[in-house]
Amino acid sequence: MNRKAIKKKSAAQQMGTLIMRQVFILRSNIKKLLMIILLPVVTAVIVCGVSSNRMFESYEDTKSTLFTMVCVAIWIGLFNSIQEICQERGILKREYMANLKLFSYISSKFIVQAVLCLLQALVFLSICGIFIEFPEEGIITGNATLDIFVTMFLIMLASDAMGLLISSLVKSGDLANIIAPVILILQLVMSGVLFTLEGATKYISYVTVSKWGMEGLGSIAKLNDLEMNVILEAKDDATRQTLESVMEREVEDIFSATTSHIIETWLILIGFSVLFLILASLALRRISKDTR
Amino acid sequence: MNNNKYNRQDNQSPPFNNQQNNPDNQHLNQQKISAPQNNYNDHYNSYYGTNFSPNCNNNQNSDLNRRSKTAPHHQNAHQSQQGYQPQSNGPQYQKQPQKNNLGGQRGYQNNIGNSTTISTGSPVSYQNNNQFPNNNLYTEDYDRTISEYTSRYKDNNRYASQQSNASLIIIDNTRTIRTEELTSDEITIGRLGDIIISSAIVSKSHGKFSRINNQYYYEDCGSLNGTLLNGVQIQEQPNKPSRRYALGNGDVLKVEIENSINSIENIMVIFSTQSLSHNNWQFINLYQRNTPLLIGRAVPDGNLQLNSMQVSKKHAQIFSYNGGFMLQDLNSLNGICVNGKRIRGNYPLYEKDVISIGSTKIIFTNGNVIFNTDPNGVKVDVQDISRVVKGNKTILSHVTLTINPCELVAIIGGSGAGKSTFMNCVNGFEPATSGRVIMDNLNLYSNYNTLKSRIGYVPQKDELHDFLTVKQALIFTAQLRLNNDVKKQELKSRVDNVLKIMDLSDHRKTMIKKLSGGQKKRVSIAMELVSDPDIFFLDEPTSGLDPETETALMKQLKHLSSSIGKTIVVITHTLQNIHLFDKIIFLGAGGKLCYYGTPKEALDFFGVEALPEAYEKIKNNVDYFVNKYNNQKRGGKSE
Repeated sequence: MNRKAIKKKSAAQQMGTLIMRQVFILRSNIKKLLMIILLPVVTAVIVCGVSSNRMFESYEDTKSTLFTMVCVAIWIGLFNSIQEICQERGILKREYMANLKLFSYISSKFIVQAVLCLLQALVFLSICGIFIEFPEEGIITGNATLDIFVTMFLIMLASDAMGLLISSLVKSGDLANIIAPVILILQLVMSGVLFTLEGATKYISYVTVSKWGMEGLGSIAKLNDLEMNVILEAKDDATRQTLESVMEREVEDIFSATTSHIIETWLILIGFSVLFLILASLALRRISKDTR
Repeated sequence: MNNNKYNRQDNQSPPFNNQQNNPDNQHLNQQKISAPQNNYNDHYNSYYGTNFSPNCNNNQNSDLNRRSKTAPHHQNAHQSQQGYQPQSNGPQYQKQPQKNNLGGQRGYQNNIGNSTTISTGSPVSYQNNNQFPNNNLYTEDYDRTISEYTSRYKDNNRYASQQSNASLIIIDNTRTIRTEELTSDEITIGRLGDIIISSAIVSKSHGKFSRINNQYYYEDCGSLNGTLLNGVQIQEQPNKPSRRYALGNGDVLKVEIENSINSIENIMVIFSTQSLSHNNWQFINLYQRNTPLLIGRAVPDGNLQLNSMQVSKKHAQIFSYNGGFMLQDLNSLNGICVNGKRIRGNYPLYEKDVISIGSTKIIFTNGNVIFNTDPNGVKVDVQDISRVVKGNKTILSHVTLTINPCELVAIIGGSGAGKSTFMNCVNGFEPATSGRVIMDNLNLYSNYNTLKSRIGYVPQKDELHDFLTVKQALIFTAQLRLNNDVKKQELKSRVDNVLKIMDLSDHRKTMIKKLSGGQKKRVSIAMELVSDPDIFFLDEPTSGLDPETETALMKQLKHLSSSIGKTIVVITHTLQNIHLFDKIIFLGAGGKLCYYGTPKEALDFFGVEALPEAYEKIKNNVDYFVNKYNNQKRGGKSE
């Protein structure tokens, strides 16, 4: 075997060992495991409680609910991973000094996190499915629920990777806890739902998970085709027609319900995950300079 | 089945089989060397430009190996005939095959069993056929080695307490290997020394070995060409006597002229703390082999087996090449150093090259490799290190000292005395801004990547995963840190061994979260012990422990250093167990070395009844004690 092959093999072996270690730790850490399962359950119940019964009919109601779902996905992802690396920084430093490959380390974390996110997205949407009626026809997979599931999963994954990045930048869990809400607020504000963004903020929004997550979900829900509440509440057809002609809504490009657009948002979310992972493994190189 | 062919060849001429002074055997040797397929000899001579005659002097030297101070100087003229040829053996070498190379012995029998089916092997067949025949066998072997390890170490200590003489292994310009015992407290070497070395580049009185308090020192007596100690010139100024250097087992002294790495006049002296009768130095003659010499943790018998987790299963090999010999790194995890430099791929060996694999030194001379596989610990030479930080503040000031293998050393001093700074400079985490640290014969700062696997560090805060059991944590750590070639079975037995050594066997299934402070600290130490480093650094291991637990932990460290053979350096604040330590390093404010020596002598040095009083005394008189210590050192009382 040549040196390269040996290196590859050892990187894969390290990854395997690290994954197994996380599984063992998680298995014994009942509290954490319970949190991971309960978080999507509780949030799903809350989201369904506040959402109106005109989901996927009314433009405003659907948009608000989708926005809440994006926020939930971002929060779940961030919460999953933000303590993950800084908590064991001391151990990692020792192992890094003893030939651990940072890329193996980050990848192993990400693989375990991906499985958790998948599970959480599944739990979340199953509970939502009880209360909310999802449209039947999907754009990509042929099933709208599946489309939404994939999008939710990718949002969680991207924000989970962002959590890993933050976790590898900070040296203590306390600092990470302070940063987490700041990041969350930034994501809410920059999503483009609460405020119309112009100028510099518009460009900043391009690097937020929330913007692309919202675009994806909004497109799948065909927001552009939905009617506004006033029109839905119109008493008769005449009023509706008048209202429609007066309140003509501009078609929003960001919610264009085409296959290519949704695929694009998905790819961007995946790109975020990869980017955050690479940045995280670069950030961790500084670990060797940590003072003891 | 090429394997068998290979093994059988070894079987016919295992390296130690030829060591009897037995005419038949020599006949065999000679035949082998003159056989057409084995004409290394001629090539070798042209390669090194010398006349090599492997079997001359065979009959003369068995009695002459033990020349001592009483030997008359006129033997000088006949030096070349008194040499000791590897093919024939002095009495001290004859003991070794039985005593030491246990792996070889066991495997030897194994080979006999296998050798019934033989097919023709091509020279390259060795590449694929070095699998150990049986995993279980291997595990047993490892266990055995540990207990072996332990008992042998106890032996060594016993010898030490009896003040046994150290010995020298000398390779001089005649290219012979001979041994000398240091029979008195002061012995000079040189062309006209107590021990005679006849090379032209050696001065009449070249250097001096001295023994003070059972510690050996070497100094250069102002020779023309100086002396290299582990590859470093010790003469500060040409032709001027050097200061005294403490010697540890396996230290290598060399005399050579610049740009003459291959000159036959160059000489080499290996210092061994083992006396001649207990000497475990061995050699393998490469000319007598038809197959390359494999070096590793699990190699077929007749090869060089090194029982350390630092060493890969097949770590390296030496094969004949173009009349000389070539050393090849077989993609080992921790690499190979030759003369203090990391090598990659193939490296042509030169006369008197020192090959370091893990903690073992292998010396190449004249188609022989000389080595000692005893567990070594590691020797640390701290040479004039200082650390200056921002604002031109000196936090460590010109510290020079030598930590000997297998010593338990405490770093003590008031707060802000630079204890952690000193430790971090010595273990390479935060290099000193001036001066250097030599670990074995390697410069720590320029070879950090090679050496780091041999350094264990236990931080003050226990960095452990709370939600793993002790055994799980150790197994994961072992999987991450050990060689990839370690099989599951071997890994498990290694972990079990570590659990036993650290007295954690009863807690193997306990969640780390539920352990007490002392137990957690033991797990932290065990985590490092898994990868079998040679030197341990512990930062205040007893902070937050009750006195009883503390004593138990310190005793465990003592055991680790004296019985398992590790060098251990500990920062500590508590002095109740200071008597367990071999040496203490007392640092004063500003990182100044106030004292380095045994705890007992420290009381005299500071003029106190108990060590805690010394803190008070040092507070206002740092420079006084620094000077006192330096004067004492210069006076040669102790280092």
